[in-house]
Amino acid sequence: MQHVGVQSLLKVHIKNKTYLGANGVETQALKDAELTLTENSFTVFFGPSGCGKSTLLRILAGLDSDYEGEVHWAHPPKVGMVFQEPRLLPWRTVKENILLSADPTFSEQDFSQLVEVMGLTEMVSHFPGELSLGLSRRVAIARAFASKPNLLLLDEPFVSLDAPTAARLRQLVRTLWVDNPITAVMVTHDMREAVELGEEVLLFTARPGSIHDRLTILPTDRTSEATIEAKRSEVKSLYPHLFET
Amino acid sequence: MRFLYPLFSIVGFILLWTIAAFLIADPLLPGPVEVCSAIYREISSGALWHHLFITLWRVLASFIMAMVIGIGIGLAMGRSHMINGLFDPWLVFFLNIPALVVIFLCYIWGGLTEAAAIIAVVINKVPNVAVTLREGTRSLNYELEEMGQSFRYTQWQKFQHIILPQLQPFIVAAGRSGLSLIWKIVLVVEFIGRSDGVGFQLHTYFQLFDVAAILAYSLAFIAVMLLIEILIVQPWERYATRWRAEPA
Ligand SMILES: Nc1ncnc2c1ncn2[C@@H]1O[C@H](COP(=O)(O)OP(=O)(O)O)[C@@H](O)[C@H]1O
Ligand SMILES: [Mg+2]
Repeated sequence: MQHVGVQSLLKVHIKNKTYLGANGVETQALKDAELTLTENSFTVFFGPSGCGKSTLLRILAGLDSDYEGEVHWAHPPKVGMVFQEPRLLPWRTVKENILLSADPTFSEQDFSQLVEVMGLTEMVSHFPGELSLGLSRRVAIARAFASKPNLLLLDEPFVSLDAPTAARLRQLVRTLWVDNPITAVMVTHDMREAVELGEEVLLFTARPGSIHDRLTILPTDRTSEATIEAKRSEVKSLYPHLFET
Repeated sequence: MRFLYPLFSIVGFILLWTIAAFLIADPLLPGPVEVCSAIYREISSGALWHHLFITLWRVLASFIMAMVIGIGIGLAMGRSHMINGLFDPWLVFFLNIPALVVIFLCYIWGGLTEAAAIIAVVINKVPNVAVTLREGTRSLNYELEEMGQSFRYTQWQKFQHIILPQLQPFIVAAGRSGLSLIWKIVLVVEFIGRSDGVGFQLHTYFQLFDVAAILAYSLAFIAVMLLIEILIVQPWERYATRWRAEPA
């Protein structure tokens, strides 16, 4: 494994995060959500939709500072974010979208390599409006990789991809994480994704979200379809609310 | 067929005009031939180019100034409640003040100078640009801005790649209506207080009741504005909106 000495990168305690809706109605999205991320770990947020997973991820990304609580970084992170929606610039080509977010050290050769692995080579001069949702998601993932982050935040990145593509991209994310000193956080409601990628799976309560249990995934858990399925049933029997979709 | 109808309409009009001019036979209703010969006369004397060029320069200068100032004000008003609150009453004021009053006041306070003329035109146009751009700014996509923030776009990158492309249709709309409004106001400004330009020529020929020359200058100027639309505005718009094209 890649862990040389376990250091914590981040400690978070969100006491309260409330949204004020346009109609004046308040929604409490997070309540006493606590977590610690260790350097170079892979953490998964698992929970039913609407429980505040994206909200917590946005707080980690530094995109939302309107909350009660504390966020302590060991050092400021360099965030690479894959949003729940692709969020590509429709008026820029695939190539421009990727390069605009790329790290200064990201070379033309890195680019060709990246689009090759992502299966986007044919698409580089297309505009996002010409791509399917699945392809757009791949561009969004490529964009996050190109930014050479040390904190990779993925918000349900594989939703609406066909199964083989999703499997390939999961493998890519895993390779990227194994090969580089990256701390990763991924939101999902798919236990297979969670077990295949995560080291630690944080189980959320329903809204207002907090983290009420954690699963540690051992490398051996990932090895077979049967163990993944076993993990799934185990979690499902303990926390049926996580699976209502 | 689509191109034939407008052509048919124009040719029909010219025919009607010729017949009417022939029947009425009055110098106050010159026919197409008289107008064409007036155009030819003004071109060969060099007067048409001279005055056309000066008017065009004024249109361009005030257009650029009005757009830059209007876009700046509109952006600031769309982004900040405070600035919107401060500027809004004045926006309403300047939107409703008659163009003629602005022109008079500028000439009275600034003298019959080039600067006063241009400022008068700019003041007339800025409020419209600002209102359009305020709408555009309010409709900006927040999610894309957040994306730019998370990937550490610089302020300039955000402006160039996220904000400007979204404002582009609003800028085109403001520019379109701006150009047609501005050249009309420039003519009035020239009419009242300048000693050159198409507006000044119209003034002169108005005093002479030379309708053929008046029409000659008007047609020449409309032709130039049409050329600007076809050669500059439309190609630019096509280029800037090419990403909207349907999948091949
Ligand atoms: N901008 C917002 N304004 C108001 N309510 C919001 C906003 N964003 C999220 N919420 C609400 O907060 C709760 C948590 O949302 P979110 O973090 O997106 O959930 P998840 O990602 O777990 O599905 C939901 O009930 C959602 O409706
Ligand atoms: Mg979400």
